[in-house]
Amino acid sequence: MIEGARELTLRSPKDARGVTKRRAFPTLRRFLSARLALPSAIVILVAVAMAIAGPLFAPHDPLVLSTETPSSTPSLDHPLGTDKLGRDVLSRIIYGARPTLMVGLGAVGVAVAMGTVVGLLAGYSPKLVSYPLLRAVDVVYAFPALMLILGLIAVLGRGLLPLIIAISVINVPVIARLLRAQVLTIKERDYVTAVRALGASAPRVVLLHVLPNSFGPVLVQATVLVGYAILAEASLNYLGLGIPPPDPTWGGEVAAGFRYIRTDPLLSIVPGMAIVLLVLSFNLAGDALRDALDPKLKGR
Amino acid sequence: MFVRFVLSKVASTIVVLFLVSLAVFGMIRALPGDPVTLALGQGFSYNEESAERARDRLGLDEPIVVQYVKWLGRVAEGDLGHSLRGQGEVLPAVLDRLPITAQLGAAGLLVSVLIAVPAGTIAAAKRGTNLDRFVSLFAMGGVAMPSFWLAILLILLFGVRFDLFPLYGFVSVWDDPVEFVKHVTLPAIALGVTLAGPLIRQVRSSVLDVLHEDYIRTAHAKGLSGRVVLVRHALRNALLPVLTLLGLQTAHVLGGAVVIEQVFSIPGVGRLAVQGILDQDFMVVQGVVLVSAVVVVLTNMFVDILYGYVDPRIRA
Repeated sequence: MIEGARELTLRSPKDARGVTKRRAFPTLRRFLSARLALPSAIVILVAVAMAIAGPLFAPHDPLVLSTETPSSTPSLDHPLGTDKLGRDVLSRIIYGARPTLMVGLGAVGVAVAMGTVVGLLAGYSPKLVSYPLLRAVDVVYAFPALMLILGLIAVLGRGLLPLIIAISVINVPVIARLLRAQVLTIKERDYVTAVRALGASAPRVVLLHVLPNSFGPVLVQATVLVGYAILAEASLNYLGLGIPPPDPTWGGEVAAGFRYIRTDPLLSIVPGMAIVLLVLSFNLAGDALRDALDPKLKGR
Repeated sequence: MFVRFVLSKVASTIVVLFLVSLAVFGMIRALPGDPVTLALGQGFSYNEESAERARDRLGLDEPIVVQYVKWLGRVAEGDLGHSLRGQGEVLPAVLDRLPITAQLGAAGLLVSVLIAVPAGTIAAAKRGTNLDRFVSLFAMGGVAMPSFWLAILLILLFGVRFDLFPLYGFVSVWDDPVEFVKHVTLPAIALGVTLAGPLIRQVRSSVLDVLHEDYIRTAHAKGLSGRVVLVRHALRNALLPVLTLLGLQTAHVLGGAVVIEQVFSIPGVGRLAVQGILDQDFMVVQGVVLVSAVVVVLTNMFVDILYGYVDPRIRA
């Protein structure tokens, strides 16, 4: 408690007359004051920029084979060297950001959409509906995540869309459970009782009152899930079950480089570092978001 | 009382297994292409007679519910079908490889415990210090690191640079314990570090919970040293919730093994599944998926029951 109180006084600076100044964007400020939040935000923004405008940044076409001798030694023309086929490593990493983020954000987006529907239904409908719904979603937990993804990939085939769908499936129950818990607490709050007493219908209560108030925790959870989705995407591309070559992916680059581990270890170390940095950034950003949206939870 | 608790756990396990079977059956039926061709295997002697027999065996003309019941009956008898690529029956193929994955998984879990228990305890004892922050950063890094990448770093350092461990392959512990340790060390570390993250957090928070208990104060008051209190009194009681988490890790172990087995060319179930997809041998893939889900569900049931046995408060 004392710690919290001290923080409060630190957070509301007073000017010379002792009047507390109100600062703009309090949530953003709290977010950025969290540990390593700024560097993580920068990493994520850089990755997003690479995904959107990769061709503008990349020094070379990632698919074009160079006529020079392949060399992993950095040069002015190839800052991270070339791979064994003479393709520019830096360009391949920049282009690899796109599938990584598309799968990461896409899978979590789909999971949030589906999980929200299931979670709201499960939280606000009678047990006859909610119980089977929850059990059905929980079955996902019975499978080792990667095994279930493999099974789905076997059915759906390989490529960007199957990756997004398969990875979203394992994330639906996480969001559904979270939202259901939110609904169960929020629907007991006084203001919800009040609007219900005023005659608001169930859909109205759920959509106008419960959902907006659950937004924070879902956003926090989703941010962390993006990191895990990226890990899953990288693993599948490493296994050769994701996006088929020659299109560059970070996981695929690590796998391709692994063959030359004795002579050119950097070929798999560098793309792996990109994965670690981005996943770590999403995890840290999730933590920072949690602290920013709900300062009471700080440090838990 | 305990019997009732066990029975309720068994009942809910049966429900989950039923749903698992529905999910896997649904996956098989969602497969593109003709189920008969699938059952016979592509490129094999396809003629009207064998196709008719397969259609009959699979009951494709019957309502879907009947098909499901028939399929479930076959699965219950241990018939998971035949490999589409001439690898024989699916279930024996999976069960042959399961012990290899189990050994790898056990070694990986051991590594994660060896990391997480000391790290989590120290972080709790030194709460708020730089050491605590370092441990939590390590836990976060372990979670964020793709296991295959960590495996490659380990291979590079201990396999290529120092030549201490073999780079690939596997020897069963029953065949040659020394070679087993040599072969399993790097894969187990790669698997263990990624599993350690959540475990460290759990150990830290449950040690922190216990440290506030009265008996810890009493132990201090008796004049015992901080270390003795921490290890003998706090850690011992804090490990119970950790055990549950360890049971829940089975799913992560099996999932993680898929990748690790591929990196180190270990012939376990994960590699079987990956090869199944590459060969488009769907029967093998569904077999591995089904068996691994059953393993996870049963392990969780046993852990739940064990937990209820050790801690009677859970049974309520």
